[in-house]
Amino acid sequence: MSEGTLEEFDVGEEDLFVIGDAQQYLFFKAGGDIYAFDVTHVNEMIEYQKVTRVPMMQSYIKGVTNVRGSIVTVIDLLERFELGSTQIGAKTSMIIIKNIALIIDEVHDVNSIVDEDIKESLEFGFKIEQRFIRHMAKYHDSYIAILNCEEIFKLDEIAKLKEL
Amino acid sequence: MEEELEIFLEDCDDQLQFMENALVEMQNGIIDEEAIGAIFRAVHTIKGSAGMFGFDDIVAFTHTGENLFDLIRQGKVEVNKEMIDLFLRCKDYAEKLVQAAVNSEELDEEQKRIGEELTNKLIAYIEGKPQESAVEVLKDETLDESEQKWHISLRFHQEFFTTGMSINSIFNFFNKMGKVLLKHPITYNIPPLEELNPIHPYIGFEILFSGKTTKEELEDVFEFVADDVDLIIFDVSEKGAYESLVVQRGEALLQKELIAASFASQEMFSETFLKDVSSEESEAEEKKELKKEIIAPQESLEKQEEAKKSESKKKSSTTLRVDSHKIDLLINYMSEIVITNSKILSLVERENEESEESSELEEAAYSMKELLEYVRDGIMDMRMIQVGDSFNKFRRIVIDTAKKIGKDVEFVISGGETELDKSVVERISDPLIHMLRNSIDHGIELPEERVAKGKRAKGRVDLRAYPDAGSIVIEIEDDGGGLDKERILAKAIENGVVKPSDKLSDEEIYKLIFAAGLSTADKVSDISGRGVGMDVVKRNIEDLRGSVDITSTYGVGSKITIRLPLTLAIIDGFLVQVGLTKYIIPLENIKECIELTKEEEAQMGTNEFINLRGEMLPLLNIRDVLHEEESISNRKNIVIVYFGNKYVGLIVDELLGEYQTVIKSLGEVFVNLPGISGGSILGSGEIALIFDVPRLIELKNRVGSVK
Repeated sequence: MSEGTLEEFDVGEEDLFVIGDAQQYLFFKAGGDIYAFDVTHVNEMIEYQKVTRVPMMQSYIKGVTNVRGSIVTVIDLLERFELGSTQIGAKTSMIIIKNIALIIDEVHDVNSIVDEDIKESLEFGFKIEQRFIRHMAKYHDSYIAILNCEEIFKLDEIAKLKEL
Repeated sequence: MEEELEIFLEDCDDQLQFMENALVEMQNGIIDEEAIGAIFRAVHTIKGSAGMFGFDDIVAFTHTGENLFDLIRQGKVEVNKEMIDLFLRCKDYAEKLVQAAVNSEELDEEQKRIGEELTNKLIAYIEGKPQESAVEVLKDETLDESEQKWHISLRFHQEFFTTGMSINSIFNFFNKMGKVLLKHPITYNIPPLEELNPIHPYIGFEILFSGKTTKEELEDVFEFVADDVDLIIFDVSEKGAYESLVVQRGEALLQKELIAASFASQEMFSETFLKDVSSEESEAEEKKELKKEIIAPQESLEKQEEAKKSESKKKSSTTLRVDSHKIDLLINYMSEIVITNSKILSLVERENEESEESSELEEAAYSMKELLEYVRDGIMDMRMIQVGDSFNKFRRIVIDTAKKIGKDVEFVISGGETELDKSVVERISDPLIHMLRNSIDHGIELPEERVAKGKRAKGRVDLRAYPDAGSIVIEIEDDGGGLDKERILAKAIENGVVKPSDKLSDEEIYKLIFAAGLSTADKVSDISGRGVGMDVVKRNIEDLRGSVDITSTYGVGSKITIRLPLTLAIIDGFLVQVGLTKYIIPLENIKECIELTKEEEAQMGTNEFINLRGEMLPLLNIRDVLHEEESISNRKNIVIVYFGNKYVGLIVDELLGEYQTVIKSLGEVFVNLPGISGGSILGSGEIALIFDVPRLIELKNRVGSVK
C-alpha cells in the first residue's frame, strides 16, 4: 500500500478493513448465486486468462496459470461445489487466494457486513456442502454464504489424483 | 546469531571435520606426518579463533590437545589406538564446547565431567612422555618449560582495522600467555590532524613480554592478521638485538623511545650506530641487510619460512566464502533473465520470419543468449561442490556403526571429486547415512558368519559417485548377505503392502523395501530396523528429482543406485506439443527425435512398439496416457528418451525445438502428480509442463500392467 492512499483516507491500515464492528467482504457470483469471502484472505482479483491443463487431476482442478511470473493453481469453484462447471464469458474472473486462483462468474462488490447480520451456517438446506460455509450473512435482504477457504482448499483432498 | 559467530561456527565445523578425517585415516593405520600435521593445525586454528571471541573453555581444552599434538609432531610421543579413540572423543567434546559457546549456553555437569576426564587423559599422555626426550626438549631451542623474555615490536598496516581484529584482543592474548612487563606506544608516526585518516592505525607498540612461550607461539597470536601487521619478535638476551630492531624499523626516533621507555640502555647501541641510522640511508640499508644476516641467521631462515607461510596464505585467500543465499538470489534473477531473453528471441524470430537474412538484432539477440548461457553456467558452477567432503563424513559413522555391532567393515569411497549442487549434496546426506547404516546392519554379516560362508571376514561397503547421462549416480554396494526375496515378500504380505495374489518381478520385490512400514530385520536395533526410513529415504530422493533402484543377489550382496539431477534450478529442455498443452522434455534424457510415419503406424497396429533399426522400441502415447485432446496436427513424432538403460519412445504431436528453461514448482496441489516435475513459463507467458522422464516411464509400466 502506498503512502499516498493512507494519507488520502487518513486512516490506519487496519481501519481500511475493519470499520467499527463490521468486517469487509468480497461478494461475487458463481452459478447465479452470490457468495462472499473475507476480504483479508483475498490476494487479488484478475480477469479470466488462459489456463494450462494439468493431467490426472480432479476435474475441478483446471490446471495452472501464470500470474506475473508465478505459477498458480486454478480451481473452478462451481465444480468444487459439484454444481456444474463455470461457463467462460466476458465477465469471468479469477479470485486469487494464497496460491490458488478460483474461477467465478463475476465479481460483485466489496462491502462490509455488521456483526449482527452474521449467523451460524445451517446444518443442511443449502445447495453447497455445509463444510464449505463459514457463516451465513444477510446481504441485501437475502442470506448468502461466507465461504470457508480452508475446506475449499483442503490439500489432501484437492491433491488427490484421479484414478488412472 | 551474529555473523561473526556464524563464521566462527562454520570454521570450527570445518576444522573439526578435517580432524575427524585425519583421525579416521589414522584408525585405518595411516599414521603419517600429514595426518598429524592436519590435526595439529585444526586444533590450533580452533584455539586461535576461540581466543578471539574470548571462549576460554575452548582455548583451555584445545591448548592441552595442541600441546600433546606438538609432542607427537616432534616424535616425542607415539600415537597408539587408544589415543586415536581418545582424540575422537575429544573432537566430539570440542564440538559440544563450540556449540555451547556459540549459543552462549553452559555445558551440563555430565559434559563437564567428560571434559575433565578427557583433559586429564590428555595431560597423562603429555606427562607420560619418555624422560630422555625431556632433556632433549630443553636442549632444543623450543625452551618449553622456562620463562623467557621476548621483545615484540608491532606496527600495523593501514588496513589493519578492516580485518575486524581489535588491538585489545591481541593484548588479551599476551596477558593469557604470560606477563607484559613493558608496553610502550609508538606515536611518532601519527600525522598532523589535517592529514589524519581516522580509520588508519598509525600507532605502534614496543612490548617486553615474559612467559613460557616460544617465538612461534607468539607469532601465532598474529596468525589471522599476519598480512596486516609488521612484526618483529626477538629474544632480549640476544646480543645487539635492539640495535638490529632499530635498523630494521628504520625509524629515526625509535632508539630514543626505546631508551626513554627503559627497554634498552644507551650502552646497547654501538657508538657509531646513531650516526649510521640518521645519516646515510643507503649505508644503513646495506648495514641492515648485513646485520640481519650476521646477528640473526636463524631469524632470516624464519623469515623465509614466514614468506612461505604468507604465500600459502595468499593461495588460500583466492577462495571466497559466499553466503549461499546470495547465490540463490543470483540464480533467481538469472532465471528471470533467461525467461525474458527467451521472450526476446521469440519476438525477434517472429519479426524476421519473412526475411531470409538474419538481422543485426537477431544476431545480437543470439550472442546475448550465448553469453547468458556462460553466465548461467558460471553461477550454477558456484553452487557445485565436490561430494568427497560430504562422503568423508560418513567414514566415522560407518566405522562406529560397524564397531557397535561387532562387524568388521572396509569402507571404500570413490568418485569424491564428482560435483553436485550444494543443496543436493546437503539433502542427500541423511538418506545416504541411513542406507549405509542399513548396509552394515542388515547387509554385512558377522565375521564368523562370513568366514563360514567362505567370504573374507572383513566386509566391504563401497560408496561411489560418477556422472552419467546428465545426472549424477551414487551407488552403495555391499558384499553382505543380499536381500532375501522370500522374506521381503512374506513381510510385505503380512503388512498388507501387497496381496498374496500379486505377481511381482524380482525388481518389484526389491523395491518393496522402500515401502512404508516394512522392515525385514527380525530384531530392531538402535541403528536401523524400525521400518521407518527407507520410505523416507525414497521420498527425499524423489523430492530432489532423483530416483533410487536396488539390485541384489542373495548371499552375494546388494547395490543401491541413486540417480540425481546435477542441479535443481534450470534445465535444457525440448518443447513439444501434445493436444492443447505444451510439454518440456529435459534434453539430458533425449536420445533422438524421429517422425512416426503412416506406414509405421499401420505396421504397429494395436501394438505399442516399433522396430527401430532392428531394436524393439516401446512407445508411450502421451495423448492417451495424459488424456489430452485431439490436436489439429495429424503428424506424429516420436521423441526417444532414456533413463539409465531404459529407452522409450514418446509419441507427441509437434516438435517445437530446444528451450532453455527455469523449473518452477507447480504448487503443493500437484505433489502427487507422477511424471511431471514442474512447470516453466514460456516467453509468451504460457505455462509448459516439464516431464519427469523416469517417473513417466514408470507410469507407462503401471498403465501397461493394468491393461
